[in-house]
Amino acid sequence: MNETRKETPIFPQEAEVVIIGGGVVGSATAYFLAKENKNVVLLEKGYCAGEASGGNAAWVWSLTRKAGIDLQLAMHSISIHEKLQAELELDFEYRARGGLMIIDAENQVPFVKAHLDQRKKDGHPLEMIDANEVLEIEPMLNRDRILGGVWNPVDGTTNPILLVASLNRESEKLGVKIHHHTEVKGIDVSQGQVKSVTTDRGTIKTDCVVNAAGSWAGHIGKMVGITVPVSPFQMAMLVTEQVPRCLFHPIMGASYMVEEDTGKEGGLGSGLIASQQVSGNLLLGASWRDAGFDKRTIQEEIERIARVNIEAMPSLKDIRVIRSFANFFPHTPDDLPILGSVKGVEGFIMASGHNGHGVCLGPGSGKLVAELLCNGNTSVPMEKLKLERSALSVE
Amino acid sequence: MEKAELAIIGGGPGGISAAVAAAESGVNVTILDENARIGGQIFRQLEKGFTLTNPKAMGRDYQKGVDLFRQFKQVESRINYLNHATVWGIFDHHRIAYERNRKSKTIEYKNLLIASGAYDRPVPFPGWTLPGVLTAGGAQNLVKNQRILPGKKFLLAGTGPLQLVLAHQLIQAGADIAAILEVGDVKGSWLKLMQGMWGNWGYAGDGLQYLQTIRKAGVPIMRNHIIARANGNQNVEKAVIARVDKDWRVIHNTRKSLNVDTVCLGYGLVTSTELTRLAQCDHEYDNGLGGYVPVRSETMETTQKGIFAVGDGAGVAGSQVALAEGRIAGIAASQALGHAPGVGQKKTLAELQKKLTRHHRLRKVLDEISRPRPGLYELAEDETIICRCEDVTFKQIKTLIQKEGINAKDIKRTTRVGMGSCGGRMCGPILIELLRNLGSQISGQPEGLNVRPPVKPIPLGVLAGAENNE
Repeated sequence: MNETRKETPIFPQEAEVVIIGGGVVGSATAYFLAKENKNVVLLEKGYCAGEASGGNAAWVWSLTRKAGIDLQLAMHSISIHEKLQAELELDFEYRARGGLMIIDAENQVPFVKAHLDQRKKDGHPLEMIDANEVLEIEPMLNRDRILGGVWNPVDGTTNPILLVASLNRESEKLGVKIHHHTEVKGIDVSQGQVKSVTTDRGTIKTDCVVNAAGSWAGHIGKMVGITVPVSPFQMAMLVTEQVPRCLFHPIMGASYMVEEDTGKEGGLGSGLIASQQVSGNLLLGASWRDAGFDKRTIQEEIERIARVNIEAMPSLKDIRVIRSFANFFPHTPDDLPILGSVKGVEGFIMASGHNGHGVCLGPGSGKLVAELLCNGNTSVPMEKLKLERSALSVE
Repeated sequence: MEKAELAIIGGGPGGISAAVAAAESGVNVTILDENARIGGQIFRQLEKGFTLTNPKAMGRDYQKGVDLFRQFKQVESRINYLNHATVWGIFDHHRIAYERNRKSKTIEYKNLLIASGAYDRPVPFPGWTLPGVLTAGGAQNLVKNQRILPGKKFLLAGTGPLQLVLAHQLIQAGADIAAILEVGDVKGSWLKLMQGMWGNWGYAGDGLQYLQTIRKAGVPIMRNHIIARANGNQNVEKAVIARVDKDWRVIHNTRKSLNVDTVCLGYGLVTSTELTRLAQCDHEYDNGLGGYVPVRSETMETTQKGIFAVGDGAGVAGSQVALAEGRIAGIAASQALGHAPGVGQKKTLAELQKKLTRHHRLRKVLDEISRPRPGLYELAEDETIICRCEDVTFKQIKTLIQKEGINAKDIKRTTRVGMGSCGGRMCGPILIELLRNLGSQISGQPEGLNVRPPVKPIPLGVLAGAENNE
């Protein structure tokens, strides 16, 4: 007999808010709602932080966020990471030591400059630094290739699995009921209002559901008759053995600014992403491709990621890779998350589509959704994030 | 890219026997072997610089190995033997990626045979991570192949007749053994059991010889006994042993302490299934063995068409079974590849199947003694390390196991158990047994951990320099 969850008799009958999805976004939403004394049930089809939240670069990163709402969300969320760091009991290894983007080809320069111009206009200026400064910050980088870089002091890394564990531990103390390995089967909507959520272990009466299902957000959307344009998009990375500290900051290659769209339409995209975890493992990336819900990594990805990293950091050549992993990120057509209420379905709240930035943006998104549900005044205006925005071209 | 009609991973008895059978039918074979020479663990050839003065002292298995090597020689022209080749991935489109001489290479196969072998079952108890605690296989490798005696005063703890083989080898090398602990409830004579293990009455002579050595050295064989703890500062100084009940649970007030500096643990073997899992073959839990094995047909084909699995990597049953299974699979693969069966191969198949049936019958007797019982996984205490790479304790896992529906993969992600350099080879099987024994909130057989390439640590530079697949 295959593995199944044992039946337990206790299952909630009703809740003020049911959150679907126990990733960073869902767990943060639960936490902030619980702090406002809401009666919350969090449902997770697997185990919390088991999908994209549990396998990613673990960055809290705003350097490449575009001026406007994109950056606004990131900056807001970084402030929430800082607050959580101070108020949650369990350390989740959030370290804001600054992030670095490296320029290693002439064709990247105009893209980087344009980005910096936009940021300056937006009131969040970033400075270019020269090759020597880059090498002072990260001595492992290839001296022969570096043309310069961009430094952003507010960025850093975290441990998203611990972040979720830490949020959940606190939420449970505040009365949130978390049910793992519980799958949502349907959502009952009557006269345009959410009435209940049916799972594989019972029905919960509620008039509010938060769709924080990440790549599965479209699947949940269908249950209330709406189209949510979120699709899974695979990103793969390598993990090395634990080594003494040799990388000090999250490092991204500026090629990301040039070739943003490779990897779609059947191709394989790649770019430099490197950082070292508190444990000493190097997390090296990345490649991306459209692989549906397939989590396996392919040979080409593994070799490509290794090449990208060896070109940037040749002295890592003897460090051994112990595994690869891939996850799919909830991708939206305009790279922005879908947050907020949905026209025509009262009580159905979207909180998905973070495009590989769920770890960075998750705490902020959770806070915004909680604000929306509690008093309606959100710290960041959410108009541009709604499902009905034109960029998503949903009828 | 290299191409092979039949690619074989592993150069032990199963892999070599398959290679010989296939080559005899005219198949071009490539063997990828991590070792320097063919033979695997059991038929391991002497390291360079050693010469054999008395072949008889090497035991019957060595002779069997010599026979196999001779057969191999005869068909060598059709076999491309690649030593020091570490397979790091099996991918779609019939591709294997491997490292050899600090280069990553790809080979495309038509059929694939995995003979990945087995390794000593890891059993956690307080002190099991102390220097001086070895696996029986590790100790045997040191004594037999390196001619190194890893300690002065030994305790052998575990189950099954292989412990007696090790004891014999240690005594021959001059070791002082305090005791041999057999955790199983062995009724009847050891000799009979040893015969069962080899599944061949012709081997009685070896078993008798081993028992005589042990008796002459005055080493007690203590049945229904387990090692419950190893104590010491830098190294093992004492071992706490105890009597166990039929479920291998320690009986109160039976503990006593022995002064030893080396403990060899021989709780049988667990299959190396990383490669068959990577190849997406279905696996099932073998209760007699206490571990996962790939699901196979009568011809050793897995649930993936054209992928065969033989030997200890497919169900620990020793070298005789590996030889027979290898031959069966080698013939089956040749036929699948469109080669006419070699002279007498049809007849051979039937004989081999009969031989296997006999082996399996005898194996059942041994399994009944050595099949892991719950008590084996109840020795660990809160602070006992379960995952050596990531320092995950028993307490961390025990606490999580009580959570709703939590499974091995969830525990891995949450605690980092199995995320180290060994890829979960050590703690993976332990985790499954803990899930089975600690009242986890899942029903049915717990699933194992995922495997992601590279399955063995490979330098980043090697992966980066991988040749293009033109």
